[in-house]
Amino acid sequence: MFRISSLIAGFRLFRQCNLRDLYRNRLRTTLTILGIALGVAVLLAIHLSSRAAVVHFEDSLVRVAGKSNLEIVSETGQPLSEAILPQLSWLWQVPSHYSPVLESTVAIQQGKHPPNRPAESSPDSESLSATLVPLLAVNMLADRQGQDREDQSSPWAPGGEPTNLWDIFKPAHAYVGQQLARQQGLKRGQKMVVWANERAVSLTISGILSDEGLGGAYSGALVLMDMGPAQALLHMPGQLSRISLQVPEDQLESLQEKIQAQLPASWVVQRPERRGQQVGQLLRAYQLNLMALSFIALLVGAFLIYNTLSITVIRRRSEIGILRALGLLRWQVAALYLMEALWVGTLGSLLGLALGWWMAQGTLGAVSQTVQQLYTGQPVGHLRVEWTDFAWAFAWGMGFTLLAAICPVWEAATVAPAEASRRGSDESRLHRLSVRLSLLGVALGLLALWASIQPPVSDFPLFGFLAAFLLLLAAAACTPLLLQALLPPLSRLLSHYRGAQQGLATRMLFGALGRTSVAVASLAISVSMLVSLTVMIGSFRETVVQWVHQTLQADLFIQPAIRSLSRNTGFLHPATLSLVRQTPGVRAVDAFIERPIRFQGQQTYLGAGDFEVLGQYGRLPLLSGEPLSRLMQREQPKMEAKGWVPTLVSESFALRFGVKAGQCIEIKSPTGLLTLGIMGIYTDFSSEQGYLVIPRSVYAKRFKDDSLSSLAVFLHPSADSQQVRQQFMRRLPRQSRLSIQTNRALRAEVLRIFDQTFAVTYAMQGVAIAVAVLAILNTLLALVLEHRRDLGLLKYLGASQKTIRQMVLTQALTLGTLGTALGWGVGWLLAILLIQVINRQSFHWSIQWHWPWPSLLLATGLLLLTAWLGGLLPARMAGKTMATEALRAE
Amino acid sequence: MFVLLCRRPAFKGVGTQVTDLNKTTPSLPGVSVVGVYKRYADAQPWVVEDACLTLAAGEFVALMGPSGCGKSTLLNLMAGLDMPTRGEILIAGQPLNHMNDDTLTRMRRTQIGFVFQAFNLLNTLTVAENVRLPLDLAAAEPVQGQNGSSAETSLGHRQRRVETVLEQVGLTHRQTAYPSMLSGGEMQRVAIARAIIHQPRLLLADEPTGNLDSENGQSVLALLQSLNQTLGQTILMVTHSEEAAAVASRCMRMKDGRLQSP
Repeated sequence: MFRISSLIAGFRLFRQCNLRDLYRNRLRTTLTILGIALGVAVLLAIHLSSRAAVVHFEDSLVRVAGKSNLEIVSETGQPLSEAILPQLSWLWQVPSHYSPVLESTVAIQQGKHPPNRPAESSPDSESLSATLVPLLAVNMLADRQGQDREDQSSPWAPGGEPTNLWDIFKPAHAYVGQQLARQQGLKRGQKMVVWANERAVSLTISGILSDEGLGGAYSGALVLMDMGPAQALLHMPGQLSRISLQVPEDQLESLQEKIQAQLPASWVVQRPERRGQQVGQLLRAYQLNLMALSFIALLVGAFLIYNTLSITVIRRRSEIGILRALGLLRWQVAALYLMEALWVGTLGSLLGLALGWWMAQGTLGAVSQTVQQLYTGQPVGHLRVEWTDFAWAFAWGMGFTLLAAICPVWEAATVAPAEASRRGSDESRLHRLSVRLSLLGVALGLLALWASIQPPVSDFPLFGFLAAFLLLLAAAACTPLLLQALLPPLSRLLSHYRGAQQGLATRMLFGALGRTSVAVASLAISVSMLVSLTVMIGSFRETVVQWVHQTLQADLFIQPAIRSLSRNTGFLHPATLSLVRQTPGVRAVDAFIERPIRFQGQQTYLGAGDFEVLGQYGRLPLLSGEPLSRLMQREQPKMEAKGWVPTLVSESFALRFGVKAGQCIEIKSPTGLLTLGIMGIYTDFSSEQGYLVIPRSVYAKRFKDDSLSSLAVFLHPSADSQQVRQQFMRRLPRQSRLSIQTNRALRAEVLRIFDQTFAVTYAMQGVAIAVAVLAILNTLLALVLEHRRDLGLLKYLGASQKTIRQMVLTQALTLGTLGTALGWGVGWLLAILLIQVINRQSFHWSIQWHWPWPSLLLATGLLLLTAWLGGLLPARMAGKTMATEALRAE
Repeated sequence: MFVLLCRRPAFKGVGTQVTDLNKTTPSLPGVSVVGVYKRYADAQPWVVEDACLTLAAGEFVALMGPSGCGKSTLLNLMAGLDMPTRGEILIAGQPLNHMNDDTLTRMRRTQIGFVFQAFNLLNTLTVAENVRLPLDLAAAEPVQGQNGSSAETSLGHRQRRVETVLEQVGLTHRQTAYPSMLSGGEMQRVAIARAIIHQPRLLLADEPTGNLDSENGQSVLALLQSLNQTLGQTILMVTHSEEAAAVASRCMRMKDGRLQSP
C-alpha cells in the first residue's frame, strides 16, 4: 500500500526533476500546451455544435409528442389523409386518445417593406431575407397535449395571453413561441409576414406562448396554429403530417398491430422516438465525419506532446541514468515522465475546454446552417452544455496525451543506470536501429493498405481512419532511415555551395539523429494533415464545379423562395408551371418534385421529373458516360415491357444500397408497391442520402401528388434569360415568393452552399496550420537548445555570432524543408485515403483528384516562412550564448 | 603520506559528526569479484577480462591503471550499473547477476554509494536537493514491513541529515546554490555528500580527484580516508594518481582489462 508520505516524496521528486525542467523550457512547454489545447478545443466545439442539432430535434419531439406513445406516419413522404380519423374512433373505447398533427416549416420575412405597398407584395424575394421557423398545427379544441402537461404553470408568456381565445380558430391567426417573439420583436396583436410554400401571408399573432410544455418546443422558436387555418395556409386541405396516439402502455403492442392492420401499406404506426432516431441516423455521417476531422487537430496536438516528451527524454537520458544509478526504479522513472505528460495534457485540455466553449459559438452557426439547409429543414437551437460534455472532451485530451506519452515514457523507463556516465549512446543506437524501424514502418504501411480496402463498419469508414493513423505511424518509423540517407549528401552539398559551417550545421542534425527524426516526423505529420485536407476540399470543390457546369443546363431555375433556406420545405402550385410555360421565350420546362422517403429502413429521396425534357435539353452526367437520351431510347421500352417504372438513381444511392443498372427494386406508394427498373446511375452531389428519379407522370398517378419542388426552364436560343425572368415575375401574383435564378446565379449559389457546408472544415484547416506552426517553433527551439553545447564549443573555437546565427537558421530551414517534403508525400497518400476511401464510404461520392496549387503553395510557403521565423529566436539565443556558459551547462 | 593523513580536513565538522553516523552503520560486508568478463558486443574485445577481487569489510582499496584499461567499467559492474558478460559479483554474499532490476536498484539505493568522475549532479536541483536525492528516492517507495518509520522518512529528518553531511563536506553555506554556480571542487564534494548520505556499506569512487586541483583533491582524499577510518566504510577508489592511491590501505593495478597481481 502506498503511504501518504511516499506520495508526497514522489511528488516532490516530480516537482524537482520534471516541473522545474518544464519551467526552464517554458516557451516550449507553452507551445505544447497550446497545441493540445487547440486539439481539445476543436473537438469540443464540433461535438457541442453537431450534437445540438440532434438534441434540439429530440427535445422538440418529446415536447410536441407530450404523453403520446405511438404515432402514425407515412413512409412515402406523402401527407396523411385525415379521412382515416373516423376509422380510428374505436380507440376512444380502449380508452385511448389520438390527435392529428400538421408540421411544416415557414419562413418569417425580415426587413422593411416599401411604405406604399402591403407587406406581402414584393414578389422579388431575392431582395428579402427570411428566417426559418417550424410551424405546428393541432386541433386546438380536442388536442390533449396541452392538457397532458403535468405542471400547472401558465402556457402564456408574460403579457402574451390572448385577448380572445377564439381568435386562434380564425384564418391567418397564430400563436408564437416566446423565443421567436423575442428574436423577431413580435408582440401580441401584431402582424407578421410568413412564407408558406410559394406565397407570403400575413399572420396575426393571437398570443405568445411561454417556454413551458409545447411552447418550449424548438427552443421556443415556433409558430402554433389551429389545424384548419394551418391546412389552408399550407395548401394542404384534409392533410396531416402524422397522428399522435396515447394508448395504455400495457396494450401498446397489441394495439399497434391492430391499428397497423387498418392503415394503408405506405403508412406505419411507430413509437415517436423512432423519428428522433431517424434524424440521428440522417445526421450520423455528417456528424461522424466532422468529429473524425476534428480528431485530426487533436492527433496533431498529441504528436506535439510526443515530440516534446521524446526530445525531453533523449535530452535527459544521462540525468535519468543518474537517477537510476542512485536507486530510482524503472516504474518510478515511468511514473515521473507519465506525470509530466499528464501535467501538460491536463493544462492543455483545461485550456482547450475554455477555448472550445468559445469556439462552439462560432461553429454552431456553420453547422446549424448546413443541418437546416441539407438535412432537417429546421433551425438548430442554442448550445446546451452539460458537465459530461466537458468531461468527454477532457477525457479525449488526456487519452491522446497518454497515447502520445507511451513511447517516450517507455524509452525513459528503459534507460540503463550505466548511461549516467555515457553520452550520445542513444543517438548511436538509433543509427543502428533505423533499418529495423523502417522495416516496422513498411509493415505498418502494408497494414494501412490492408485497412484501406476494408468495407465500412455500419456506414462509418472505421478502417479508413485506421489506415490514415497507421500511415502516419509508418511515416514516423521510416523517418530515421530517410534522414540517415538524406542528411550526409545534403551536408556535403551545403559545404560545397554555402561554406563548411553550413555543412557542419546539417552534420550536427545528423549527429543528433534521434532528436532530428522526432522533429522532422512531427513536422511532417502536421504538414501531411494540412496537405491532405487541402487536397480533399480542393478536389471536392473542383468536382462540384465541373458537375454543376455539366448538370445545370437550364437557363432559369424556379423554386419557392423558402426552399433556398431548406431543401425539404415548400412546394410550387401546379398553376405556376402553366404560368411559366405560357411565358414568351420559354421552350421547355423540366418540372421536378422530390420528397424524402424511407427505403430499406433508411431515408433517401424520391424525385420525379420530365424525362423527355431532360433527355432532350438536359445533360445529366451518367456514370457510364452515355448520353441520357440514348439510354432512355434503349432502356425505357425494356423497362416498361417488364412492367417496371423506368428509373434513374444517383451514385450515392447506388453505392449506399448496393444496386446496379438493370436491377429492379420495390418502393411503397399510396397506391401499393411500385417496381422500379434502374436504367442508369448518374453523378450527383446534392444529397448523400441519394436519389431515385422516376417519370413525373408515373409519380403523379401512383402518389396522387401534383405538387412541384422546382422548375428548370429552357429558353429559346434567341431569348434573354433576364428579360424572360422579368416577364415571368410580372405575371406572378403579388404574394408570390419565388426564387428565380439564372444559370450563372444558381451555379454561384451551389458553390456558396458548398463553401458554407465546408466552413467548419476550412476552420479546421486553419487550426491544422496553427498547430503545424506551433510544432515547427517547438521543434526548432528544442533542437537549438540541445545544440547549445556544440555551438558554444564552436564559439570557443572562434566562430562569430553571425556564423552561429546562420548555422541555426540553416538547421531551421533544413528541418522545415525536410519536414515539409516528407509531409507532402504522406499528405498525398492521406488525401488518396480521404478521397477514395473515407469520403466514398461516408458520403458515397466519387471525387475527382485535383491539386489546389494556390492554396497548397500558400500553405507551404507559410510553413517554410514559419520555419525561418521559428529559427530566428533560437538563432539569436544561440548567437548570444557564451562559450564558457554553454560548455559549463553540461 | 603521513602529512596527508595528519592533515586537518578542510571540511568543517568531520570529526564531530562521524561518531553519530557510526552508530547507525551496520557491520560491513565484503565484496567479491569472481572471474568477471565484460564486453559491449560479441565482436568487440574484452574490456574487463577474468577479473578476480575481494574487498574485506572496512577495507579502503585503490584501483590504478592507465586510461581505457577497464577500471571504470569494473567499478560500474561492482555498482550494479552494468552486468558482467561472464563471472559473478557478490556483495554481502549476494550475487548481483541473479538479482532482478528492481532488487538491484534497491540494493544500490541502500547499500552502495557512487562518486562519479564527472560529478553527475542534476542541474535542476539545488545542492541540498542533490544531496538529499537518495533519501528522497527511498521515501518515494514504500518498502514492505517498513512501518512506524515516518520520523526517519519525514522531510525534516531528511533535511537534518543533509545539513549534517553538508557540514561534513564543508558546504553548509552553499545549500541553495545550483550546480552551475559551484566550482569543480565544490561539485565533487556535493557528489561525495550525495554518495554517503544514506550510509552505504560500499562506497565506489571513480577518479574522485580527477577533475580537481591539488588542494581540493587532497581535501576529498582526506574526507574519504576519514569515512573509512571512522565509519569503517568499504571503499574502492579508481584513480591514476599515485598520490591518491597512497591514501588507501591497499592498491591494485589494472592493465588491458586484467587485474595485475600485487
